[in-house]
Amino acid sequence: MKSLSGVGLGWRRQLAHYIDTTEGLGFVEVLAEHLHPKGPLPVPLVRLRERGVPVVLHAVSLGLGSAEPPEPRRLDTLAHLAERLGAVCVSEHLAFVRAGGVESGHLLPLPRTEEMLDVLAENVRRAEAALPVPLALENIASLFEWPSPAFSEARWLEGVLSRTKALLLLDVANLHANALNHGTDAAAVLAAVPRERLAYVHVAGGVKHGGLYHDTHAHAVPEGPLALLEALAARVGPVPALLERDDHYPPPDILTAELESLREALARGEARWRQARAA
Amino acid sequence: MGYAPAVNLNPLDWSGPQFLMGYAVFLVVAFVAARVCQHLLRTPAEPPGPSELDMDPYEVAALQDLDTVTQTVVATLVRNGQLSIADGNLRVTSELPSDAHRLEKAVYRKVKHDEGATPTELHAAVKIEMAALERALHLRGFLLPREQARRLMWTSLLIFTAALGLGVLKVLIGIGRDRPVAFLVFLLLFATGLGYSILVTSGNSRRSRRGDAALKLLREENQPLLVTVASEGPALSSGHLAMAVALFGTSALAGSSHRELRTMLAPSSGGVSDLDSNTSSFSDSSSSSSSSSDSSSCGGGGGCGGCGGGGGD
Repeated sequence: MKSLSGVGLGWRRQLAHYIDTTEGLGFVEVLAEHLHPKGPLPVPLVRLRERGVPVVLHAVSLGLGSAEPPEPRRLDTLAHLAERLGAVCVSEHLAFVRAGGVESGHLLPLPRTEEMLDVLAENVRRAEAALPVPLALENIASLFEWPSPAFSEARWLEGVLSRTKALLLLDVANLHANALNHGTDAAAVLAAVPRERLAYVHVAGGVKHGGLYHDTHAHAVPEGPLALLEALAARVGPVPALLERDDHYPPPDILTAELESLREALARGEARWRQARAA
Repeated sequence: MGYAPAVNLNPLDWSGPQFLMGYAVFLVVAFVAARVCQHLLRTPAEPPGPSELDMDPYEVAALQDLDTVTQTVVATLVRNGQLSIADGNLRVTSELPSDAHRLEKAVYRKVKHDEGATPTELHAAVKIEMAALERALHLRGFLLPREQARRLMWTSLLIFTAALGLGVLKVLIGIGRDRPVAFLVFLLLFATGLGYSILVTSGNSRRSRRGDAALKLLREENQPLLVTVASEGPALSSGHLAMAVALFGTSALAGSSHRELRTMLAPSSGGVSDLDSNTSSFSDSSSSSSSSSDSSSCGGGGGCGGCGGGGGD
């Protein structure tokens, strides 16, 4: 995989002008479900591709955690879009989204069991075979967990990586949400991340509401995900990180400040990583 | 030894059907020649360099027409809160800064004096102030001098009129010879209506080929701006909004937050322009996505933020 670097921003139509005029963005991520499978690519995306800005194709509806294998039609669409965009990789979620033709409408968590790992490994193998670029798998946030998990989230991610050849898209905002809502050991998850398998990192904003933390992508990024990003960089060194914003788009100066806060967290983490290596 | 029948080279002596066929082709050729002439006379033609494209929104709007300049000024004043729209009419809501652009001052004064002024009624105020803009664009070779523009239109009309004249002559000869001329008259009426309307409309453009190239380059350069404005991204500065309207007209105001402004500026444009379809084709594919996981960032997969409640991707 061509390597990603720096700080990126999720490409949305609403942010097309900002992204086009902002210097120093390392890469962008495009939602596959926002693109017409056969229609022309939006001109701003074509311009970014022509300028050599690396693009990641991000999907949410493949359903890699379903008992049914991923639909060839969906895989074909992703493969076709990845080729047209010149995508560096395709990313999808470790989630369950449909069964028997019924759509959940949400990314639902997977039971952390051996059986689930088997199903997941087979689905990921099929997806990887169909895609022209590497596949990265993303940890999700959820409001509930399946009872009696066989693994902690850290061991679960290790299991996924050991059973597949996929890369990891670590969402530190989701990790932050799970730590607050379910008591997930975030440090253990960070410790389980092998640098060579880490494609990039997601960071997003959220808000506490009704006793739960909601990963909304529509609020400012709180300190928690930034602290996790810093801790990750302190452990593994420089990592590409991407800010996701899906609603309540802030004015350009606020967005620039948010991107800067990611850079600062990474810089702090990298400084600690260098110190540790020098010691 | 036989002789081939002599070909009659005088089209006025041709038979009716023979003349009609040949004349229809001749009219098309004459029309194309008139259009080519229009195109070639719109000089200069050299594309502008990047530094020459550094223009403010009003200069860009003036590359198009009076309508677009008026729309751009009104959009700026409404975005800045100096004017607002109430019951489909413009009204003054706050003072205009003393350093405002002279076009803004002209429109502001008109609305203040004549509350409820329509965009058409604002044209007169804008037109007076446009002269300076046009002079600047003329110096850059983006607009033709009025004389050149007039000469260009009349030259093309003359070419096409000469071609029509041949048909009129044949009609007179036909009548003199007591022959049916209805089909030829119909062809002449049709060609006159269609040809003149196209030649006059296109001939009215005062833009040079260099100006065309500048507009094309600016539109390409600002496609991301159009996509952002049309999809209601983060609040843009009035300068960016003005540039979007200057380049893409009211089509840029496709988002719901600009609907009132768009309706006021272009009340009769019920249809969807090319630009609308350019911007909406993409937004459609995303907005329709909420109901189906086939094309949704949230449906099926759920949570591209917010969608999953506490979840997220």
